[in-house]
Amino acid sequence: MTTTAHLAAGAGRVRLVRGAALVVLAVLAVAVGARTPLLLPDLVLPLVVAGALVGGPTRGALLGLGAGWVVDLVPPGSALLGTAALTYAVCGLLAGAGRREGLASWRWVAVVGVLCSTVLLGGGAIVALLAGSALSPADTVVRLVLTALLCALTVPALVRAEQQLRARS
Amino acid sequence: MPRPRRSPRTAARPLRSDRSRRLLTTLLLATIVVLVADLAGAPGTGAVRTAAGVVLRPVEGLLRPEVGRDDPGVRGTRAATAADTVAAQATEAAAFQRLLRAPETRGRAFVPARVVAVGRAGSAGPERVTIDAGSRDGVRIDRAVVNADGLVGRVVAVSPWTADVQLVGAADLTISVRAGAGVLGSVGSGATGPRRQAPGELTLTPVQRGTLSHGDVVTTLGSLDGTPYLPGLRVGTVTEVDGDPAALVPTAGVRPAVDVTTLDVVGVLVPEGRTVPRAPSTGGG
Repeated sequence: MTTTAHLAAGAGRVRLVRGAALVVLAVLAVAVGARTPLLLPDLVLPLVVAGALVGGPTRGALLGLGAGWVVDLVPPGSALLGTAALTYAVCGLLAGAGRREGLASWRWVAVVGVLCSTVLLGGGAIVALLAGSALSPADTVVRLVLTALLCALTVPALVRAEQQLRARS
Repeated sequence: MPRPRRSPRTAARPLRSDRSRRLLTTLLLATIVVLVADLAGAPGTGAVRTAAGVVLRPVEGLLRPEVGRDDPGVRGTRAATAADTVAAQATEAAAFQRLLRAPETRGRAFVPARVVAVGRAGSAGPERVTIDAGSRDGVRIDRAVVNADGLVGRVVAVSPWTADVQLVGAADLTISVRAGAGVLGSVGSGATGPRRQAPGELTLTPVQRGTLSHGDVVTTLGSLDGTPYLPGLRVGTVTEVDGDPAALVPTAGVRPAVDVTTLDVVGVLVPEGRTVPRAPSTGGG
């Protein structure tokens, strides 16, 4: 096999695993959210951030758009179709802009994660305000903190796993 | 001299990046189109949601096992719902019993009904309600509607299974009445007459000067063939007599017997025409 073919096979496998994980996580977020009164962090964002950190801004935005559409469409779905897609796309673009050559430092990844969480939750809050639906600022802040923590904890591992998956073929 | 060959990777790179950028732009535009369509209430977005539901519901089913019938939470909710239903039925039954004992329905046939819709509120509260009995139940236009407290209004429109009732206090509903010690007059909305009444009150305009006083009970005078009003239905009580000496006939404020904002079980009276002629009486003085 040539290098290009190797790379293509690795990218295909990464795409498949990532797509399946996205759907499972989006459904899981809905399923768990319906069962518990606790506030949950956003489960999909770490995947988007990790993918964007590896793939760059365009790939990141594409990934975010796709992930957002899954979140939009998982029943019961968003109040307005496409809002989550656009918000996640912005997150992917932002995280992709933070791509660094080689292994990114843990601190940098954490900073990108916090930024993306802020964009995601802030975007959600703005959409809620524009749509005139109820919005609890305290809950939003708690979810932001939880999501940022989750990003900081999981994104480095996800980045490493993705790089390994890509290299092993 | 060998031509500098471009490696396939460097040739493919900008092409692929270009393609994904174009793809991103297209998808972003498509997303915005869908967003605007959903915002505008276009019909297609419902189909998108349905399709997503068809695909993703099985995944949800895998990740979220169905709640069992014997789950304590489910049982508790079920019991609470059943208790609420029983309580509501008991309230309705009690209201119906009160209606059966009310003087308005004594010895009279009536069609029981419940208020199922309230119309737009006028200046003095709601002016029309819909009840769940209609022409198939024997309800006709211009029948009197009562509840346990007195006269509610009259039927103004009928459909097979529902009817619309104009409430006492509506702008264009006037009732001929007898008040206190036989003072005849008419009762209309509180906005009629020379003086506006307090909110929620009606105006009684006597036909001639009489002795009206605070606390007099106002009842219907009765109409031809009992349509719309049978005699003796309670309309309200006199709360305030307008003592203007310059007025030819002093008007009075009447508090309605029925609170039209809390209507539930009502009865539509069925008038029965007289069939037996009245025998003349002889004084024995």
